[in-house]
Amino acid sequence: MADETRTIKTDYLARVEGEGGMLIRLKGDEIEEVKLNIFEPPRFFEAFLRGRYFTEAPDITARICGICPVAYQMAACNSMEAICGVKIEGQIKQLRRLLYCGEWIESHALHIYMLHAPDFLGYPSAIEIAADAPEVVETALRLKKIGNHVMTVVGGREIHPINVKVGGFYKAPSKAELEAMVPDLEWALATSLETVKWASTLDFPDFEMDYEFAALDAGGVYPIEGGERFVSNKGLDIPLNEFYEHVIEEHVEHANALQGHLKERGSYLTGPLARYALWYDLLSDEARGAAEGVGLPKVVKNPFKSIIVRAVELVEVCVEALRLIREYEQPAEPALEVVPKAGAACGASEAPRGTLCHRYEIDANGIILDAKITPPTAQNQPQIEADLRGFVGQFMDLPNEELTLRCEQAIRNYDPCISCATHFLTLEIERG
Amino acid sequence: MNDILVVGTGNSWRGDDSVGLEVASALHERLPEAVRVLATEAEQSSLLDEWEGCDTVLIVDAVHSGAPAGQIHRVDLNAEQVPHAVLQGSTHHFSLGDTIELARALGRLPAKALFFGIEGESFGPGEPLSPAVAAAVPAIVEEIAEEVGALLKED
Repeated sequence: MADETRTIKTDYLARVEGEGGMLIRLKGDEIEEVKLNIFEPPRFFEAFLRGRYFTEAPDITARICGICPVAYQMAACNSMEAICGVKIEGQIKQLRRLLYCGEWIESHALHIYMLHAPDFLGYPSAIEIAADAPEVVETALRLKKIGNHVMTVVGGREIHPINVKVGGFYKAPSKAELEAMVPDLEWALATSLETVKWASTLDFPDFEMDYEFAALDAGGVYPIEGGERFVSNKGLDIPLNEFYEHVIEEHVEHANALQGHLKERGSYLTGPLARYALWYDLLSDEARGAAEGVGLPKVVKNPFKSIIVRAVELVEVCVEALRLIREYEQPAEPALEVVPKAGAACGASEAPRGTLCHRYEIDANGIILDAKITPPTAQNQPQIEADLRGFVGQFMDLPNEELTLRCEQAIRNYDPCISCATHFLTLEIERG
Repeated sequence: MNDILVVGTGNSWRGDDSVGLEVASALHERLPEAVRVLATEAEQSSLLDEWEGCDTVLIVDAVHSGAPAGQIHRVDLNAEQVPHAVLQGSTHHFSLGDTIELARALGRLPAKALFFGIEGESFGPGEPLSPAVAAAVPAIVEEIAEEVGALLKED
């Protein structure tokens, strides 16, 4: 049956934010087609931002994603501050990093235990895990709650934190408020170390890809809240302001989203695997120790093992949050004054699922003239399709049902946030 | 009275999906201060933490089941499951339906837990509430306010 046609299809991808689908068509041993479909309608945020005052961008863009509002706020602030020539340093920068650690704890715990683990444990969802092994889900919920609490104490509110502004914060928390979180964060650190061990015992398909890994270069620290260069393991090393000269976005017919490629280089991967491979040496002793303890190499090319790398990053942000609290001194002023200047600049941050880049142009009165937002999932989509091609090519002999599940799992390796990744294409109307 | 929580969820940018938030805002104005009212666009599983320790939770969200727009579906969560189809239109992450079932599996549903689903018809980005759904808001606000009033009297 060499020319038998097989179709592997999922109309609705559970455990992926937003709604998406996948279609893979095989003819005999040939892969005819691999498509990741996005159903989510386009977002209007870029258009909505035009004409708004520059200080509104962090609050408006924070609403794009319920999982990573801080990522959007930080990218927007970084961009506006770059335009206006203000550099945020010292305690305000450290507070931003702490806020962002809260978001990583919340997001990574949710993905590891409640969205990705069911694939490895053979459950349809976390609800069935809760019935058989409630302690696993309770662990995830407690970790998430601790991450949310960090966001509440620093950001003012856990979703769409309201305390963040261009230039810093409206109010800086006291040292005592932060220190009150230490026992919870110590528990989270101990639990994260166990999570690395647990994740390493899962079963992984024998599958690797030769990735171009890309992430921010944060100048000597593990990239989280920002960075001034965008770099890869294959020679890309550019100032952030050249992002859109190298990342080309294409509108693809089957997905209602723009997909990012590197000019003349093709698909690339952003997110935990990339950060880990590029910046392994910048991880804390605890995080590196946890990786070494389970025999995780310095570069992980098996995308299914992203669950272990995410756990290592969970260790990292717990260690980092505790360090930031230890070293914190409440700043005299919670923010620097930012006076608008006409200009344009890119600003980026490392969302839990990968690099998020914003670019704004504002006028001398601070009015936004143009806005461009490139979420990590838009950048990862071509790589997800490449993974699916590679995976199906190697595991074609699996029965359809199992292959479908494995392909869904291959998509969830990226913790994709599909609703963030869609945005509107400007239409040109030709009139005769 | 910190043991009653009223929570409206949704996405403020997605047309009728924002109706739960609208209802919560209206109830925030109307209910006594002692009743906690939350309007949230958060990832849904965090609701488990929000109602921890509560005796009663009333949840309001948009649904899409094919019924006429504006219709109110009321479900006693301790007596029955929310029909899967009713929540299929959720654009949230770990969905509200998942969260309710997760709470049930973990024994974390409050003793009284009611779900009010408001049938939506239009969920496009940047859209306002459709007229039929906007027209249903006062009735659902009234229904929940009466429910809360009765609960407060019981105490």
